Amino acid sequence: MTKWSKLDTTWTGVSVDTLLEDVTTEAEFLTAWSDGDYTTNLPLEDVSDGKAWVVYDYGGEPLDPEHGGPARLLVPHLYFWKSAKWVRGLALTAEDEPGFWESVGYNNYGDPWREQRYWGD
Amino acid sequence: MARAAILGRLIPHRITWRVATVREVVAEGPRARTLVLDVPEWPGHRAGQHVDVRLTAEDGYQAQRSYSIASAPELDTLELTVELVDDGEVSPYFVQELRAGDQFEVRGPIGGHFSWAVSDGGPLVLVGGGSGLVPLMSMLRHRAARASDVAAHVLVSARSEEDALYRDELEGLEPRAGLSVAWTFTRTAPVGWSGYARRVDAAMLADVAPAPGDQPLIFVCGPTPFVEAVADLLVDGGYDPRAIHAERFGPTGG
Amino acid sequence: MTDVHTDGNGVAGLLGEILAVEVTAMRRRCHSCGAENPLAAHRAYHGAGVVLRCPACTDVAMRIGVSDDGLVFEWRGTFTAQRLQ
Repeated sequence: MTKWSKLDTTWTGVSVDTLLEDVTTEAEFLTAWSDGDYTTNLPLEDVSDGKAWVVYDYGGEPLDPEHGGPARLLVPHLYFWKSAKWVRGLALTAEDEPGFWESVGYNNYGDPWREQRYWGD
Repeated sequence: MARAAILGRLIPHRITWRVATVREVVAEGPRARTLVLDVPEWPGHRAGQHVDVRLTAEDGYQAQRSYSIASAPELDTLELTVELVDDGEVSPYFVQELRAGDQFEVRGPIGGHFSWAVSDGGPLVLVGGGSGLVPLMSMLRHRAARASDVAAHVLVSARSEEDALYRDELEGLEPRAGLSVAWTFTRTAPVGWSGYARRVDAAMLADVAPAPGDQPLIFVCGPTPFVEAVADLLVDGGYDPRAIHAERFGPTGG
Repeated sequence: MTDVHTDGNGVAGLLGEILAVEVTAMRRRCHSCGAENPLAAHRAYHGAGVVLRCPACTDVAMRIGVSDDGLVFEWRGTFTAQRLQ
């Protein structure tokens, strides 16, 4: 009987701490703006202190669009869908504003690291 | 010519996960395999439909993918043709490791809009890019099983001879009344090839397809960019957009 | 802009977990641009869940949130389906 298992992945990027190094703020939330009018909302503390990156390489190669390239958020300690794909900007907000997926119930459920589905990958 | 009102028709059914057992794995060139499956109580399908498959690793991790059904509805086994995608998560397992006796889950049949039966009539125009040929092959096998003479004009785009699925079988079917098959190779043409060797364009479609006035039923399948380019060419060429059924596999094909 | 999508055909299995009907052939008139297309022709983008977008104007046609218990739907536009004869 043959067995199947998931591939290991490696990512390369810059820490969100580095991006926000020179920023002073009282904001408690971060909204990631992505291509396609997607927004993803996270508490700032969930992307601070080494917990989040903006990544641009996947497996040693430039991140391709189907994996969220040219750049995406990576927040390993949260559910994978919070690692917003196709990121174009980060905004700091005072309020918790539901993003695109939060508006249809995405909150604390869903499998961590659930990959997107494509035909015949 | 009979033309069923396919558009907007609901086909009620419950689709549930079933266990498929591999009866046989058949090589389709170096990069593809046809999986011949036994699925208990399979409800049957229409040519062109697909299934979702689900793999579960030993640690419980699951992945799902969709694959078009390659076999005609007339068979008692279910056949899927899987093409190897480099660095894919699922296809390397299916193409390189899967053996007779292995099992995984399938759900279906799915997709009434991209399906065809002989009773729907024609003429047919079938345009496939790479593994986009798979659901179209189901239609052609169904057509052959019914000994139908509905005219079918087929155009297949493949990178090279290695990626050209079912060539021998299609050549065997072709003499049947009303079927014509054209190939175009976009990267490396076979030695001695005198046919098309470029991306599908307006001139090629004009050669292959009947005139818009013949009101063909058109099915286009393959990677998303291929499908959308071909669909745009067909609309520009005067074909009724409502007669064009498209199935987009995404960036890497199916 | 990066544009990686499939179409409504690939989403039918997911919707079939909840709906006992075949949705790909349903037609939708877009509330934004008025274009009419079958669900199968709508662009499907996979993120946390799935979003279907009008093929003519890319406005959101349907958002689907997926949990272990079920689905959360948001549908926009006017949908038409025929009964089986």
